Amino acid sequence: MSAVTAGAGGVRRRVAGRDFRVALVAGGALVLAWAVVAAFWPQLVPYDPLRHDPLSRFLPPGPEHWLGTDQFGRDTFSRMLAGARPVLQVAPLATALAVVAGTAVGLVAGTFGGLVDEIVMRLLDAVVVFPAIIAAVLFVALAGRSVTVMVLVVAGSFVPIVARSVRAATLVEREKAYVEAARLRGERPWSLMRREIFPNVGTTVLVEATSRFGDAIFAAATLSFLGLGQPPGSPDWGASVSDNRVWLQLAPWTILAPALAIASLVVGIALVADSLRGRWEAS
Amino acid sequence: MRRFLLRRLAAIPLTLLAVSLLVFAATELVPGDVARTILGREAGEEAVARLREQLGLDRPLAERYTGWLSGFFTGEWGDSHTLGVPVRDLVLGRLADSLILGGLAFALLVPVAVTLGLVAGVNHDRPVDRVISVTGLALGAIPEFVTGVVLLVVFAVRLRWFPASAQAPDGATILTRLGHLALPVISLVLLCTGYVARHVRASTVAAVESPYVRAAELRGLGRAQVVRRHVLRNSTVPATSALGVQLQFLLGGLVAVELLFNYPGIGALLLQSAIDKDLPTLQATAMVLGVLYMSIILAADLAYRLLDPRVRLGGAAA
Amino acid sequence: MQESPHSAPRSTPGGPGGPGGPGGPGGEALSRLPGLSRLPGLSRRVFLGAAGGAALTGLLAACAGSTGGAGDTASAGGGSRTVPASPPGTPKTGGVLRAGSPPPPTAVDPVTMYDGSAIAIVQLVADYLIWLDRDFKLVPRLAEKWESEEGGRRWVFSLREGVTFSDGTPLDAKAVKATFDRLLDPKSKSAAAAAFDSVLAEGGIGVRGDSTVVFTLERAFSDFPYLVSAGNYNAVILKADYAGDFTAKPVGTGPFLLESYDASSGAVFKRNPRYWEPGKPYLDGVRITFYADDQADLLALQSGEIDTQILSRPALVGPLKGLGGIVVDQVQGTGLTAFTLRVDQAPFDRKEVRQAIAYALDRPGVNAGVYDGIGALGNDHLFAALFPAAPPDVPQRAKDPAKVASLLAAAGVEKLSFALTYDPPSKDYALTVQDQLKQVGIEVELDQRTSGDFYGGDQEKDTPWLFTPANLVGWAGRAVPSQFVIPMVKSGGVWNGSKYANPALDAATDAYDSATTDEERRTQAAIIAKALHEDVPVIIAVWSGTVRAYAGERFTGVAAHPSSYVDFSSVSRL
Repeated sequence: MSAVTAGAGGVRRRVAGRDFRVALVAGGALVLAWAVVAAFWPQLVPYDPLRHDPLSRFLPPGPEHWLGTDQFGRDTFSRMLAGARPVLQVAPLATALAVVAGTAVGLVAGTFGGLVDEIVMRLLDAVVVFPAIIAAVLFVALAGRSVTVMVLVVAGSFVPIVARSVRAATLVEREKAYVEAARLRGERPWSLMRREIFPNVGTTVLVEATSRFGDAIFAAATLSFLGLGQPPGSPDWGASVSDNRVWLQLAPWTILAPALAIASLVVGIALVADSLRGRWEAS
Repeated sequence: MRRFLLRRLAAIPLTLLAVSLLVFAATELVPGDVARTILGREAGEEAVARLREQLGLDRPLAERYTGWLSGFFTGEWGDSHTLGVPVRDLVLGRLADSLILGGLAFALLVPVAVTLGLVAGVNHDRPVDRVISVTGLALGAIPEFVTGVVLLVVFAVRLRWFPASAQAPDGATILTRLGHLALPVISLVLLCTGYVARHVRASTVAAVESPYVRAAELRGLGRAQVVRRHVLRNSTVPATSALGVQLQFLLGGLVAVELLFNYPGIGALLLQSAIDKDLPTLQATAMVLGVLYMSIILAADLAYRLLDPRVRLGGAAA
Repeated sequence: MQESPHSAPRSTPGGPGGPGGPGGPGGEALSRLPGLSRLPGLSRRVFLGAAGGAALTGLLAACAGSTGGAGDTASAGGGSRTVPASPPGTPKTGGVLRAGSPPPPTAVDPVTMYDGSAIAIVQLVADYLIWLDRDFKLVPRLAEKWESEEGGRRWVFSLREGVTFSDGTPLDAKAVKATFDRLLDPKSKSAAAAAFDSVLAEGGIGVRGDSTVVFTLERAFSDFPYLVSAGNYNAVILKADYAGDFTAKPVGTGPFLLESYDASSGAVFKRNPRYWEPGKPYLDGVRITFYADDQADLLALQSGEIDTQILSRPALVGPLKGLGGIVVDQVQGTGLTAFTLRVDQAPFDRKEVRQAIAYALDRPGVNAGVYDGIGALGNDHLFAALFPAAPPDVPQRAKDPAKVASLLAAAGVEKLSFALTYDPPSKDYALTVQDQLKQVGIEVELDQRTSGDFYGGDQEKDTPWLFTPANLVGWAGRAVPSQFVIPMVKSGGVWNGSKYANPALDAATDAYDSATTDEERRTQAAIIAKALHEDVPVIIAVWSGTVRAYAGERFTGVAAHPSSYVDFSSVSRL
C-alpha cells in the first residue's frame, strides 16, 4: 500500500473505488448474462438453432427472425444464444486445469530449485515449443471434435505460462526472511512449499486464473475458426464467423452476431478480472 | 551469468530433440497416408505401395526417425513429400514472410501501445485514461479474425482502398507491398495494443505514485520533465515481458490471419503439413519455430534476471 | 449478362441446356469442382474424379448418344469450338486474366495429378488429342481425326499437321506413343492406367509414320476415344523425354507458356506464340494466384483482385451473382454426391431401412441449400437425365414421412440412428441430410474426417470411404453412365462402398456395355436403374451442376465446364 494520504491522491482513490465498482458490476452483469444463456438457452431460443429452412435463407433481421437467418435458413439469434454454452464449458474447464497443473509445477520447480527446476523448466519449454496446432490436429483426428479435446488443447498450451509466473513468484518468496526462518527451523521442502510459500503466491495464481480465462475464450474461438473446434454444424461462435465471412456483404448479421457475442463476453471477463486484479494487488 | 547462459543454450538442442520426437510420434498417430494424398483416391493400391517405398514410408519407425534426424542436423532437410520442393527453401521462405508480417506489426505496436499506456498512466482515472483503457479493452476482446473480416469487407471489398490479400505480386514496389500488408497488420495491432498499453499504464501509475516521483514533483520539476526522467524508464521496462508475449504470438500464432488474408506464412504451412502428414516439412517448421520461441523465452528470462535483483541473487542457485 | 442476386438459375449462353441436367463436381460443397477438398474446414483442394476410373475398365459402355459423332469415325475439321458466348465481332487481344484457385496439394505432375488446380495449370500449357466439351462432345485437338478398324479393336489417330511443342520440337507420333506408354507404365503410378485396364495394355501403341498413332486394343471398345480424351485428364500429350519435372521444364502444345510457378503463391503464364490455332489465344497471359482458403478466394473476386476462379462453388458464388459485376456461368453436369449405405451390415442390410432414408430426404431442399438450386433432382439410380439412355419411366422419389414410418415399422426398426462419415467438401450436404432426417425422427451423428483420413487406408480392407456403414463421396461428372455403374455398384467394383451385389444388375451392365443399338442400351439401362431405385445401395438426391464466376465487365469467354476444366484460349478483354 502506498502511503498517499493527502489531497488529490485521496480524491483519486475514491474515484478509482467508484470506477472499480462500476467496472465490476458492468463486467459481472455481462458474464452473468452469458452464463444464464449458456445454462438455459434451450428455454430461451425462439427457434431450434440447428433447424434448416430452405425457404428462409439469408433473411435480414426482422420481427420473425430478430437477427436474420443464415445460408441454411437457420435462425441467427438462436444460434448466437446456443453458442454460449460450448465456450463457457471450454474456457472455465481449461482455465481450471491449466491453473491447477501450472501452479503445482511452478511451485515445485521454484521451491526445490536446482536440478528439479532445471528439468521441469526445460520440459515446459518443450511443451511451449511443441505447436498447439499439431496437438489440436492430432487430438481431433484421434478423438473427433469435442469439448474435451478443446479443453485439453487449450489447457495444455496454458500450463507453461501459469507455471512460469508461479515459479517466478515462488523464487521471490523463497528469498524472504519468513521462509528462511522456516527453513532454519528445519521445515522440509514439501511442507515449506505448502505451508509457507503457497499462501503467499495466491495472488499470482488468482491473477493468472483471471487472465487465462479471457485468453481461453479467445483460444477456443480461434480453434473453432480453424475448424478444430465443435462438431460441424454446432452453433459455435468462432465457427460461425469462419463459415459466414464470405457473406459479410450479403448477410452481415450472420457474422456480426457471433462476433459481438465473443467480444461482449471477453470484455465482461476482462472488466471483472481487471477490477479484481486491482483489488488483490492493492491489498 | 555466463554459466546460466551456457546452460540454457545447451538445453536448446535437447528441447528440440524432445519436440522432434513428439512431432514424429504425433504424425504417426494421425490417420491418413501421405502417399495416398499425393496420388489421389483413384490410384491403384500397387501405385500407392510403390510410392510409399520410394518415400521410405515402409521402413521401420526408428530407422525413419534417425534418418530424418541425422539429415536435419547436417543440413539435409530433404524435399516436401507433397509439394516436391526442397523443405529448406519452403520453410525459410515462409518464415521470412511471417517475420515480415509479424515484425511490421510489432514495429507499429511498440510505439503506439507505449505512448497510449504512458498517456493513460500519467493521466490515470481522468477521462483520457478511461477512453484509452476502455477502447483498448474492447479491441483486445475482438479476435483478430473478426476485426480482419470487418476490415476486409469495408476497406478491400467496399471501398477498394486496400487489396484483399496480403501477398503482393512478384516485383511489386515496397509501397505496394506495404499496401498489401496494411489490413492484416492493422488487425493485429488493434488486437495487441490494449494488452500492452494496459501493462505500460499499470507500471506508469505505480511510478507516478512512487515516493521518488512525488519527491521530484515536490522539488519543483515540471511535469514533462518528471515523466521523461523518472516515469518513462521505470514504466516501460516491466512492459517488455508483455511485449515478449506478443512477439511470440506475432511470430507463430498467426494462422487465422494468414488464412484470412491469404498470406503464405509459416503458421499456415504448419497447419497444412500437419494435416497432410508431410513429415519433412512439418518437422522443419516445428524446429524453426522452436528455435525462435526458445530464443524469445531466453531473452525474456535474461531481461528478467538483469532487471530484478532479487531473482538475480536467489535464482543463481537455480 | 449480369444477374440479380437471387435470380433463378439461368441457362448459359450456348450451353447444352437440357432442362434437367445435372451437374458436375463431386463434392458437396463441392469444392470447387469435382472435387473434394481435404482439410478440416479449411481448404478445398479438390479432386477430380477421373473420368476413367479404374474399373471403368472397359466399360464405358457408352451411351454414345451423348457423344454425338464420336463413334466409329469422327473427323473434324478445324476443330476448335469450345467456349460459348464468344463476343460478337473481333475479340480484343491482349490483357492478362487473373484467376484464383486453391494451391495444388501436391507437386504438379500431369501423370499423377487429380486435383482441379493442377489440372487447370496443366491444361493451360499442354493439350489432349481430343477435348471434352461442356456438353460432353469430343472435339478434335491434337488429333485431327480418328477411326476404328477391325470392328473397334484397332484405333487409328491422325495428328494435326504443323503443331510444335513450346520448345520448338514438332509434335509427332512418337511423342504421343511415349505419352500413353508412360501412363501405362506401373512405374509412373498414374491412376489413368486403371482406366485402360482390360482395354489397352503396355505395348499396344504403335506409330505409322510421323503423324499417325495406332492403338491396338485387348478387345473391341467403341468408346475408346473417351479414354484418350480430356475425359481421362492425365492424358495430356507431353514430350517423349518428360521426366516428371513439369513445373521446372513446362513444355506443351497448349495456348500458354508457364513462366513461373511457386507452390505457395501461384503461377504466371504468357501467350504461346507457337500455338497451333491461328490468332489464339487472345490474351497476353494468365496469372493464377493460390488461395489456401476458398473464402479468401471469393473475397479476392469481390474486391477485384482476381477476374475469375478456376473452381467456383455454386453455394458460395450463387448469392453473389451481380454484386460488383460478378457473373456466374453455369452448366449442367453429371456430378453427384453419393450417399452410400452398406447393404451387408445392420441396420442398412434391410432394404426397407435404405428406402426409408431415401423417402425422408427433401431433394429440392438439398438442391437449394447445397447447390444454390442449380442442380437437377436425382432418383437414386446412376442415370442422369443428361445421359441419353436414362429411363424415362422411373417415378421420381420425393419426401414422404408416412412412408418412412411404415417402412421402418416393416423393418422392425423403432428408432433409427447412425453415423455418417464424410470429408470437408461434403460438409454442407452432411448438415442438410442430418437436419432433414431429424425431422422424420432419424438421428444422424456426423463423423467428419480430414480428406487424408477419409481416403487413406487400404481400398481392399479398411479405407473409410469404402468401408464405413454410411458415407458421402463426391464424384465429378462423367461422360457415360458406365463410368459410375461399374466401379460403384457392380459386384466387386473397385469403389463399391455399399458392397451391393446383384447378379441381375451385373448381367445388365455387361449387356449394356456390349449393346450395339440404342434400343438395346435403353432396355438394359432401365433394368439397372430400376434395380438401383428399388434396392437403394446409393442415394442420389441431386445431380450437381458446375459454375464459374468471373468479372463480366472486364472479360468475356470465361465458361463453366462440367469437370471445371479450363480453356482460356477464347477469353478476351471487353
